[in-house]
Amino acid sequence: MSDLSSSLYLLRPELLLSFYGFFLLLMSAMPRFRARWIGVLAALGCLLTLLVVLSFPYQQGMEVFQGSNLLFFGNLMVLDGMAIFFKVIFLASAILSILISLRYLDIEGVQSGEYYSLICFAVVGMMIMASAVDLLSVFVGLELMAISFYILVGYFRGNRKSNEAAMKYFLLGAFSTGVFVYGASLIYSSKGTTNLIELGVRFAQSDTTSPAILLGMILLTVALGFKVAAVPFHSWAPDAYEGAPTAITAFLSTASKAAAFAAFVRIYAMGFGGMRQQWILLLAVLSVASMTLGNVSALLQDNMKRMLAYSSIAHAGYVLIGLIVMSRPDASVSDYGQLALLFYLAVYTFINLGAFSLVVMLRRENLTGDRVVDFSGLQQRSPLAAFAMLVFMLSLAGIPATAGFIGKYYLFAAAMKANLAWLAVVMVLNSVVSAFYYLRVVWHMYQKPPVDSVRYAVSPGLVAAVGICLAFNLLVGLYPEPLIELTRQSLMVLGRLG
Amino acid sequence: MGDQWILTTITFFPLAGAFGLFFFNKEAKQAIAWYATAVAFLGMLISFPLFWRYNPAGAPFQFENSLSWIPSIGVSYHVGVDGISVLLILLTTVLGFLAILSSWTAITERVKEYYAMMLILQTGMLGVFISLDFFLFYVFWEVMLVPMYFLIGVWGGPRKLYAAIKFFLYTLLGSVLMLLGILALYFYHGSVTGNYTFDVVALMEMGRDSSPAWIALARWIFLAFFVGFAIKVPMFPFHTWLPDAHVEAPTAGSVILAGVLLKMGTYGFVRFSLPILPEATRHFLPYLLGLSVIGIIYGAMVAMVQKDWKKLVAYSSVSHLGFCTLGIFALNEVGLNGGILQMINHGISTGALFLIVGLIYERRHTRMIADFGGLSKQLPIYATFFLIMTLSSIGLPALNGFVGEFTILLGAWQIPTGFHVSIPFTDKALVFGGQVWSVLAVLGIVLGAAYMLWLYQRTMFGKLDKPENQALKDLNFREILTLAPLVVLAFWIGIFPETFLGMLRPSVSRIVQQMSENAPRTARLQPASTTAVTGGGAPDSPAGKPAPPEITNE
Amino acid sequence: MLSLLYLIPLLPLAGFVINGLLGKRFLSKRAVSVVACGTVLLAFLLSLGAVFSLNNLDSVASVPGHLEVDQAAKRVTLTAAQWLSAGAGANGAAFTIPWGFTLDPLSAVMLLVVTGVGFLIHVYSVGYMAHEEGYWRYFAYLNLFMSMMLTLVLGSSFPVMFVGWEGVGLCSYLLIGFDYHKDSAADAGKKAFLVNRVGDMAFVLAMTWIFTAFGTLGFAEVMSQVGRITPGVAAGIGILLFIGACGKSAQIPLYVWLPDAMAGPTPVSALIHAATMVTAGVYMVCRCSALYLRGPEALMVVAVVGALTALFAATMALRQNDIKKVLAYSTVSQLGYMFLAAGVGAFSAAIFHLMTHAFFKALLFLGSGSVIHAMSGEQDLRKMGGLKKVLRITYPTFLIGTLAIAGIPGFSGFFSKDEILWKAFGHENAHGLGGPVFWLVSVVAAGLTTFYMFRLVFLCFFGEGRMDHETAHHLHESPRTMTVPLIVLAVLSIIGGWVGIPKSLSLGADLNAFEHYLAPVFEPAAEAAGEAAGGLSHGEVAAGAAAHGEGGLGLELLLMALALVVVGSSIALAYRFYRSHPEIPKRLAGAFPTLANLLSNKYYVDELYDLVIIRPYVLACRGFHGFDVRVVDGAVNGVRNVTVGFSHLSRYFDQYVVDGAVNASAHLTRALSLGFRRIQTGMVQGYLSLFVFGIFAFVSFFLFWHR
Repeated sequence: MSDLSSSLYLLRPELLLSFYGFFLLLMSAMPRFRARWIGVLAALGCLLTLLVVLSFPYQQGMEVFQGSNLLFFGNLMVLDGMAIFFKVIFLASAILSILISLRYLDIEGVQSGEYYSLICFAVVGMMIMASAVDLLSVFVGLELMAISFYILVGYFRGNRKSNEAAMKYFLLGAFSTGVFVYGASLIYSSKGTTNLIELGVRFAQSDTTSPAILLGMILLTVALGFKVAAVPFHSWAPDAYEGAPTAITAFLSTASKAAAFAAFVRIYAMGFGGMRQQWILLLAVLSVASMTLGNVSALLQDNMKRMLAYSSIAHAGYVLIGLIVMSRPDASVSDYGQLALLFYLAVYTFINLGAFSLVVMLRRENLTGDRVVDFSGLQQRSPLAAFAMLVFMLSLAGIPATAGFIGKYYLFAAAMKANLAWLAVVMVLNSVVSAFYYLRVVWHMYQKPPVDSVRYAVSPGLVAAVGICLAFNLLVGLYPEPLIELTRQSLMVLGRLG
Repeated sequence: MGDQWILTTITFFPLAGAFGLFFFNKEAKQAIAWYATAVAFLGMLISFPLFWRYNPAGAPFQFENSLSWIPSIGVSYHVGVDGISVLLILLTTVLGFLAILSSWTAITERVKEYYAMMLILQTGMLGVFISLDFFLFYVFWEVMLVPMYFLIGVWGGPRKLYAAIKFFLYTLLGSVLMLLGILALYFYHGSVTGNYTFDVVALMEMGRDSSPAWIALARWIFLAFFVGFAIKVPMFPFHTWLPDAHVEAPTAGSVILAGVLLKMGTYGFVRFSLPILPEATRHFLPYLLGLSVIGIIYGAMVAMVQKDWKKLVAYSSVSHLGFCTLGIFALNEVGLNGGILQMINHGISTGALFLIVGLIYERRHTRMIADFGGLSKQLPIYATFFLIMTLSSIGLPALNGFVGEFTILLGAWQIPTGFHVSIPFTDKALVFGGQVWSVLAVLGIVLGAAYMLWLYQRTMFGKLDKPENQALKDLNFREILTLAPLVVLAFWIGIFPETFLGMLRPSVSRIVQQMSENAPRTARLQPASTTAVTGGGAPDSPAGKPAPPEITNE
Repeated sequence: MLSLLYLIPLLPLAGFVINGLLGKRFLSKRAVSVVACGTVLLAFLLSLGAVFSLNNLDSVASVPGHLEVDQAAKRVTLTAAQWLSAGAGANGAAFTIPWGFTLDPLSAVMLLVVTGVGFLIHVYSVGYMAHEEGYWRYFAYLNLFMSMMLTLVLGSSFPVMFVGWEGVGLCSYLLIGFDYHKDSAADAGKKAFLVNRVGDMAFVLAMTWIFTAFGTLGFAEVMSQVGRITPGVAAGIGILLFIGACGKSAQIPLYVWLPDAMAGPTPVSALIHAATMVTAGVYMVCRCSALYLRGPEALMVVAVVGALTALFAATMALRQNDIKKVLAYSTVSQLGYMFLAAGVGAFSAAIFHLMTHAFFKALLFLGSGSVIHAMSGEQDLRKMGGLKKVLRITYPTFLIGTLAIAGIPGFSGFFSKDEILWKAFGHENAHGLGGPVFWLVSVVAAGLTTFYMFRLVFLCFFGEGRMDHETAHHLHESPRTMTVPLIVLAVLSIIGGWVGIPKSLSLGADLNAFEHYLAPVFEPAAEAAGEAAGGLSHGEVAAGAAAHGEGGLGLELLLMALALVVVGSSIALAYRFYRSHPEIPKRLAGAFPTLANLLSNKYYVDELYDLVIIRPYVLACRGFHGFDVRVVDGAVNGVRNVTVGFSHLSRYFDQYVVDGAVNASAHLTRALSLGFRRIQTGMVQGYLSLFVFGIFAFVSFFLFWHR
């Protein structure tokens, strides 16, 4: 049942947002129209899209989306619970990033409409990725997202760092694109299809693992590993994160990571289901390397954005555990892994956005304010901001009563349930190491005197963003049940393994 | 309100009080101190009813309350107390009040945050003692680290950062490994009974399981718990965070740290390790006893040569906690009663000793023993309190310390398992009976007296020759008020411990009983998770990673 | 009367509380002394009453759970309250200890001695301490001591006794260190406490063992069922207990604290370190007589240690010049006698000597106190002399004491010491170490005792005054508060022994009232032990004694005569050395320098302990501390350093390796990357190379793994 109308119906959010993006471009072309308002419009547009996305389950009920009956565009895409879940994450992340951008771009003096429309296009790309069940559609989404980001990362034309970051991101991104296509073509050449569901079936029938397939798989892993900034394909991340506009860094570190993981889940769980054993090890190596190297390198970073970049590399490593657990044949176990993965990504989005929002807040007048020392004395100057940052840091460290703990709990639990205790132990040691550099921030905020007295760049949008993230962290930390239920309902059952 | 809300009220009252602090101007230091003290005092008062409302002859856990919290993973807000936790709750509230009372003049900057932290910490500690749900327990257990981190890190001494971070990371490591143990237990219990729950009472069922798979897994789980608890206690090789934390922490912080936080480790052993993992406990017994005894002697010897008054008391804690664990791992009623009572005693005596050090530090701003001498001439009241507490901590009869130590030794003498040392180059081995533990531990009685009396002599006796000591003021009314209750308690426990032992005995005998019954369960499904573990073989050393060997292909 | 038993320890305690809390601020010296002496006097009267009512027990009805009366053993046990109850042990027995007090003939004797002598010394102290500023503190401590000592005596179970046992130790610590600003005093106090602790450690272990063996710690219960344990166990427990006694009663090897304890005020030395506390060990051993009879080996140890101590302590006293030190060593040696007596199974003899010793040794100490008082604080014998002219009361009383301790017939010491010698001689045991050896040792010791005591008397009271003019000017007899106790004690030191007249002197008539009084305690004990086979039964002992009894009257008289000859000759010797030819000692010292040094330095035992125990211990502590900081903590910090080290490494990698790759291909870049020429491309190539390397690593690793 994939006639065009229903396909378009199911594609409403993507369509809406892309049209909206073009509309924003037109608006920005209009003179005498304050760019800041375009930002507000963009936020509203994303909000609207969010409502549309939510309308699907609202109208038909969640269970409708837990089957494979919603394939469309000739099985190129699907709208299932997981897709919706991810789309919500993307849109939320986009809205928050826009909120913190509004004042920030003024300060940077690069306020303009394209910025916001690019964010919209990036989100569209992500949403496509989330729905894609064919290597081709995955690729389309990937590229749409990536290209928008190449521009956004280098958005400060005047700023050498920013340009450098953009250039690196672009070159490596292009390379990874190539790798992805090559991998896809290898798969296609040996299995004769790019459709993931079909792939899954064929692998299940004949578990032939020719070097070509292995290589293809590896290349896809490398490409996606690049997107989630997993070691050893992470090297772009610190520079890009540091150079990019902070708001974009926030967006990049949350939404695009999530999108890449969505693709990961689809490709591995659906497509390569038949050859589980091969990818467990592959991913285990990625995961361990990422969390260890990420945390260890973060220890000594003096630059907040760089530190968070490394920390997000480490977190990518954590999340990969969820993916690894998904490889277990036992459905209950693999679902546990998926649950952990989705839950953690959702939580992580709100933690990281919150943290970056406060970095944005420190960008004022002529101060870059992105070093750790810039947080000195925050507690005395603005106790609430300090408290928020404290919560975010503890959340990243996974201390209870914060959302981060529940997320970590699920990853631990998944690993234990899958008898991967050794992986859990590695993660434990890592989270202890990570606590060290999160505490460094806390220490600066609470135990050091202020370094300057320049007013913080507080704006309604920023306050809103921080408030939302803070509330989310504490609420989920203390009463995670609703979010867990939501995640549970949006698990991908399509092409479930075993 | 009904019985089931008593514990919740007691626990969260300080937290509520902490929120109240928001309404204070941070400059109104006096008002804040008064307010915090009042809150702590009320918190103490409302905890007293437990003392007479708790019925030792009654149900295992009383004042129970169970609310669904995170049903999807079987977590509920399940609280309840037995005799053991009641005593620890009372200890916490009393020490909490005294600690706050003692900070009036000691803390002068960022007063508001300080008292907020103290009150939050109070809630965290009480929560640990009331939790009957492992998840809830873990949340409180770890949340508590944060305020303690701040207390050490913000209001601490010169090396506060080092001490605070060390304390935080070290204990964090322990607790997260413990979490893995909890998860392993949770999943195994779930897979066996089909009921995935963190409810401690339900998990205690596992104590009766004797399937080989469980036995093998239980040992790993025990090690996971052990790391968590042993770091908190702290037992011998894991103790080095303690001196740093104590020396740098503000007085009240040290009091709480020594008085209550350390007890959580021992409490964990009693509440979880013993009933849930009896076989594993017995399996590792020689190591546990060995570490306890080493702790006793080692702590005492290291304390002997400390130059810093506070550090000396800190190391003495290591020694005393060694007694507690020895009593607990004697695994008989006498020993357990003694060990638990000694937890209370240590809270009282060492808490008081830290207060005493704090009082002198406030006056002289040094803790170097060499800077003092002949103080009892100048500070007779102070000297008297110090003397009483010294005697109580070296276990003089008719004071609390003796009751605990003597009971522990009685229990330890009856330990069935000794150890043997193989003589090199021969096939023979020196075999020591179970009595060896108490024989070694009893050394602690002498060594303890040695370092404490030497400390007392160097500080209180001799000539009052240092000019800056000749102007010192003796204790004022408030300071006497902070110490007097502890002295009263010390004598009370020393002369009429029945009040407290009477509450402990039934709960303790229940635990011993739980440990003794090893009724093998009937046929049951073997979950995949544990069939593999037997391949890993049983670990032979108490150290090491609590990770079941993982299986890559099934 | 008996139901008020618990008041006896409580009254002095009340005195302690009152003086301790109010003494400093609110009470005058007069009030303080009234409270202190008053409470002790009351306790004394109460004890008298109790002891009398003990004689007609049949009138006393026992109240279950509160007051238990055992007519046969003449024992009354009063349970005041529950103390310790900590559930069942591994042996199944529930561990329960009440606050219980027992009065039987044995504790009755102790009770009267302690309260009686104690009261006298309190009174004496009023005069002696009149000018001290710590007056209230002194009396508070003294009262506390009385209360603890009485707890020790009355305790109905080992733990309760241990309360007193440690309590008196604490008081002696406090009183020795009374002048805490004097380092010597503080050190002596600490030494006393710690050495005692070593003994107490053994005591505690003994208690745990007893509980495990019997399931109870009450004296009556344990002693009545000693048959349940093997002689080996009994011996083990006995020896542990005896180590405890060695600490408290200053026996080899734990006697070293007592001489230093003389740093305390003299009345304290009289009360604690002569009359009462130090005899606690003897009392305890006698309390456990049944246990010891069950394990003869332990008894043997007691006897041997006692004999050795008696001898060596006596030799150490020979060359002391501090008047109090002489008396201290003499105390140690006399305690040795008592243990010897107990060791040969003559428990009542031990208690007898304990009592008489309490009288005359208290007298001697108080006398020496009076001397020191007169000499305005001087304690060195070499600076005294000719004091008998001035100290008209002190001198005669002191002389009486000396005669008593020397064992001159008619004086108390004679009777008690003779009984010990006789029992020692009659002692047989499995080890062949026969009684005659013990007898010889104790006779020699007796001779030495007489010698050094008379040396003291001659040096102190006779000849020319050797003090400086100032002191000589101030010489004066002590006030009445001090002299009256001296007189009372002098009387006691004479008549105190007449309650135990031996058969030999009473021409066969059995006048040894003392032994009969204690019989209800020791005979059942002996039978309890005797029931169990293998134990040295009291029957045999009695038989042995009887054997001497009939045929042995003459023998006993002969031995007595021999002993008297030794005593007399040593008096003569002392007279010759220190009165008629004062140069002889120096000549002898010149002749045997090593021996002289050895004696005057007490065989260098203190130095030996310092070298063998204390220094190594402190060194070990230092070592452990270093270990703690460098190794244990070092490991922790090491982990941190390694982690941070890796962090540095990764940063270094970012900066140099990757960058290096860039620089290497820098010109290549310019050549190729026309498009990017204007942009400084940073590390892209480096990253790319890493990227590609990653891929190849994976592929190769993967294919390899796949094999």
